Amino acid sequence: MNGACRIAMVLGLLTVSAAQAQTTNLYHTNRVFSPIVLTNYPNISAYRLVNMASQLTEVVGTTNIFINTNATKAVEYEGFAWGYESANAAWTSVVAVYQSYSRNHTNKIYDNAGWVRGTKEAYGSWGAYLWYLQNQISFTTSVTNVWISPHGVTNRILQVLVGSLGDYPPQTNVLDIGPTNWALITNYLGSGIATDVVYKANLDTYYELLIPDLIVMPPTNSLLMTNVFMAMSYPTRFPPTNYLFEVRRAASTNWYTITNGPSSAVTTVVAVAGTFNVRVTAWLTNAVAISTEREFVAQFPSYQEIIANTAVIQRTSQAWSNTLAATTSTGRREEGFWIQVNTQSQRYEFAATDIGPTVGPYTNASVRPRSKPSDSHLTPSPIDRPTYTIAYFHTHTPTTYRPHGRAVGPSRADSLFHNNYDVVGVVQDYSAISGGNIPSNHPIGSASQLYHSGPNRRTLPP
Amino acid sequence: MVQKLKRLFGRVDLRLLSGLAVVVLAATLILAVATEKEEAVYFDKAEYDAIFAARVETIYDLEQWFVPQQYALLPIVPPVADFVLKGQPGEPGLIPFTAEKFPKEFVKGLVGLREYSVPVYPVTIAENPVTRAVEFYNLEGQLIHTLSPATGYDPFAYLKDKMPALYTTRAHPDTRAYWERMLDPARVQITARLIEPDDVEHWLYAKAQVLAAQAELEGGGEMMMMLLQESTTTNIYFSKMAKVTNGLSMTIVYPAGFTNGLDIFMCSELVPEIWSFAAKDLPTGGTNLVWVDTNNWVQTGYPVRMYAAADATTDTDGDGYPDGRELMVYQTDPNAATSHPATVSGSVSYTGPETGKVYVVFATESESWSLAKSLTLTSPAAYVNSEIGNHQSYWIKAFRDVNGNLTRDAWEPWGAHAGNPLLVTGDVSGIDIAMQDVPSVWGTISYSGAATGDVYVVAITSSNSWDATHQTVLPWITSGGLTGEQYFASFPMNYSIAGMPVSNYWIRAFVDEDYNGVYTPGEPAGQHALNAIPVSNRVAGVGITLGLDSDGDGFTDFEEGFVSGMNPDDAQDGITALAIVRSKIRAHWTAINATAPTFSHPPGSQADLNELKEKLMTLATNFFVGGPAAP
Repeated sequence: MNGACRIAMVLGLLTVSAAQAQTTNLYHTNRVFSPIVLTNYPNISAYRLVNMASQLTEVVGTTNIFINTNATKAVEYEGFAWGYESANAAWTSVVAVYQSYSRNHTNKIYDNAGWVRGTKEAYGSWGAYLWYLQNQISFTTSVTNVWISPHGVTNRILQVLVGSLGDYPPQTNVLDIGPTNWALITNYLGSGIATDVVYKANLDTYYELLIPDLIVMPPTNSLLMTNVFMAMSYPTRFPPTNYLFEVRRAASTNWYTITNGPSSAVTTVVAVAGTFNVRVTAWLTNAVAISTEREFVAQFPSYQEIIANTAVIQRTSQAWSNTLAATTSTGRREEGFWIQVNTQSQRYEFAATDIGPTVGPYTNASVRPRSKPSDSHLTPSPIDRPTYTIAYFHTHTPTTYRPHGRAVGPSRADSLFHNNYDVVGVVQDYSAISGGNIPSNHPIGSASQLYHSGPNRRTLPP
Repeated sequence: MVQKLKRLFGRVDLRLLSGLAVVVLAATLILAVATEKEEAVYFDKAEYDAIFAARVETIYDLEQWFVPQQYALLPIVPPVADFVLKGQPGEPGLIPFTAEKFPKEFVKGLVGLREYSVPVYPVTIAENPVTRAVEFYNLEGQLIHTLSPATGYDPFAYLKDKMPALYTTRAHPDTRAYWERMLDPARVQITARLIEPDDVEHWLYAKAQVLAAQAELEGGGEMMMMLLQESTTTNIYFSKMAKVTNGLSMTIVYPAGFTNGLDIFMCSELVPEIWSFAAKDLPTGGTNLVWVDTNNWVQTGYPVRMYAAADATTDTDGDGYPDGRELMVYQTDPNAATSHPATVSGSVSYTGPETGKVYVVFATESESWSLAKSLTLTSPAAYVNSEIGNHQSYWIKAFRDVNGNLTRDAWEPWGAHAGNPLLVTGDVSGIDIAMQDVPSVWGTISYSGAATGDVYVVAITSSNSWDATHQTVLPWITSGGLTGEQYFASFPMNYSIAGMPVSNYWIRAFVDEDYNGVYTPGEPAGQHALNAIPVSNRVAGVGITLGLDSDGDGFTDFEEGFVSGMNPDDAQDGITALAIVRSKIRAHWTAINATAPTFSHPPGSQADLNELKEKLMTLATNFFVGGPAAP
């Protein structure tokens, strides 16, 4: 850009010091962009990491605006007044007339826009002078509303940040006029004073992106456990007005809506087992963007999770009591039941009790489980609320009246059964006295416990 | 010293332009002097140069001139805690100053005198021992300007440099306090004589003329100092001192025929030079006597003592008090009968928890705690002091010497008579003193992390503050060593803060990793308790653990409770905070790269934090931030 010529007589008329260093200012905002600089702490603390992350912006660049050369120009204004009785009167006159005396410099943007102004007394009367060079820049902020990264990733442009001029929506036509510091330009500056101010526009352009993300906490969870999907939208100073949370099975392309509304977080109880992808779409007033997909794995409950459930504890305790109560010197029997998880009611449920045959002291006891209850949904959608059969529980019997002891805990047959049916095995039996065994005539009220048999949890469906 | 220089350098940028102006002006003057060299020399050119080399353009220049003088004299200040080296002339004593660049009230307040018929303005520069501001006083002792201390100014930086071991856990706090009193830069005041630059030449010329005239009058001979040597046969003197089982034995020699009684005096503080009675009216005979000092101070008192002896009978003014006693103990005029000791009596009361001897101090300066005229009480009680010279004002006060170091420490209970200063003209009673506890906190700083830096401990009355009004600084580097090796502090560190008003205080501390003298978020910090503790006397056991993380979420309790609004006892908020960091990294990463970032370490582990940091460092190069253009 070429500098406009200053009228030489100005320096003769006014006492603007030639020796004074002239600073070039930026209009309208003293703003330049630079890459983010972060402190590299050797072993960073969590707090400093959070602070460090907070310094990350969504501003990328450098790019440019698209100038409409036909509508862009610089306008040079000039006003004189002399022969006034006061400096103020001379200045008032100049301010009134300067706009009437202008000259256009078509398709020009000057880096030395600004003004020269002053008042001076000569031969007993006052004069004033104002010279004002103004840029009028017509431009389009961006051709599209997306920015494609050097690695080919498409991002939504939230704002176009044009150097010192300001922030604008993408694909917007703008006519910017500056400098326009009217108070500094036209306010009376005093008698016998002159000022000379140089301004330029910084047109280095950057895009501020809208980048949504989704936090899944935890990313792997079990049925009936609480899960949080938290939408994040960057920059955070522009909170979206609406969020659409969606989920699909990893092996499917069909998306299902979890929620659609103003809330940025969704708290759900895990209901469908499987591997899923989730995403969030965030809406702002003038932009919408979709997060990258996050994987979410919903597992069947583990052995520990099952036996920690209060309903399971109550029901298995009752079964153990029943088993002890049914034990006599001549007979004893096992009992058991299927354990289900109902994600609709969010409770553990139990199938009808299986009672094993009563056997004498010399015979091993057993129970024959009834048919495994089917899951309520064979291929549930990600937003269904199925009931799953996840475990089988049964008791072992006392040796109080038996002539010999036995090993405690799940038998080989138990393990085979649970593995075959792909359910968690839960067995209640006495705690071992020595070597994993209890003796004959073991007191009926002795300590007992739950034992694990088979898989830790039911296999995850595809 | 480093801290002091830091204080000065902090102002350099403000004076850059004026500094350039000085250079230009000085160059002009040098040229002028060089031109005159060919002509008759009316004054000492070297002195002229020396004076102008010290020219000050601003009040800050004067402060810069003051500081080195202050520290040059500090090591030779007599080791008496209340002594202040006053009125010391600086070097050079005459300083040209640019009046128009000094603060208006400073210039307006200057009081001048005429030296060699030229106006000169003496200004005494002092460091306030409480606020640490540099204060400027005119000839009449009026404060005409004050410069606040720079942030982080440490008045004991000199001491820390010279005696770093004092700031280790091995040093007893009282020892450190003693030396901080001894090497307090506030004990040195320097007097500068300011002169208008245009008057320097006149001053030098007039001085040269006067000296020349004096030399002519004195015949140009050299001056000689006569030394007087006392005759031992006509005076009383100590000929021998020896430690014996029950005390200190001394042989006092006096002239033959001396039959008056002999008083023995003891003095432990030479500067006020007030003596106490060691023994009264010892009988004499022959030419000497042997006396054993078995006073209490021999076993438990002052490690350094001076003894004197005097005639216990001669009473020139006939007021009933021997001359020796008046001169040595009562500080009264032995030639004036109206000048004699009076009796001051009263009682000392105290209701606090502290124990120890009570010293009733009779000082002739308001700030003094000299024990020279003091009485010792085993507990608060009535007192009578019959050795107080009349026609003299006294500041009568008392303190409880809790640690038995014979010095009033800042944290020890004390009190002053409400009518101080008391002009004693005759016997006076009812001079009661109520001692009060001094609020102070004492405790230990614990820290097991890797951060290093000076440890700052503050007592604050506002929960979200780091106000340094009541602060102590524990240095990280404790010694430079003779061969340059450095020694570092170790935790736990003991600390104490004393002298704050009675109030409730939060006691918190931090490791100043960046050595900027203030807490920077992220630096290891801690607070004694969630709530403020009442401090009305000496409160001990105020322990602080820095960097404590009660819930183990990676964020310290201090960062959670006082900086970021998290819950120090809830690990989930820390997990969430790091999940958000991970989200931000992922979002930005996938905005640039076609593949998602991988996080390969257990969340919250140090390896995880470092991995996240590395990814942030990588991402930072892709994103920009707006800010003001460089000037």
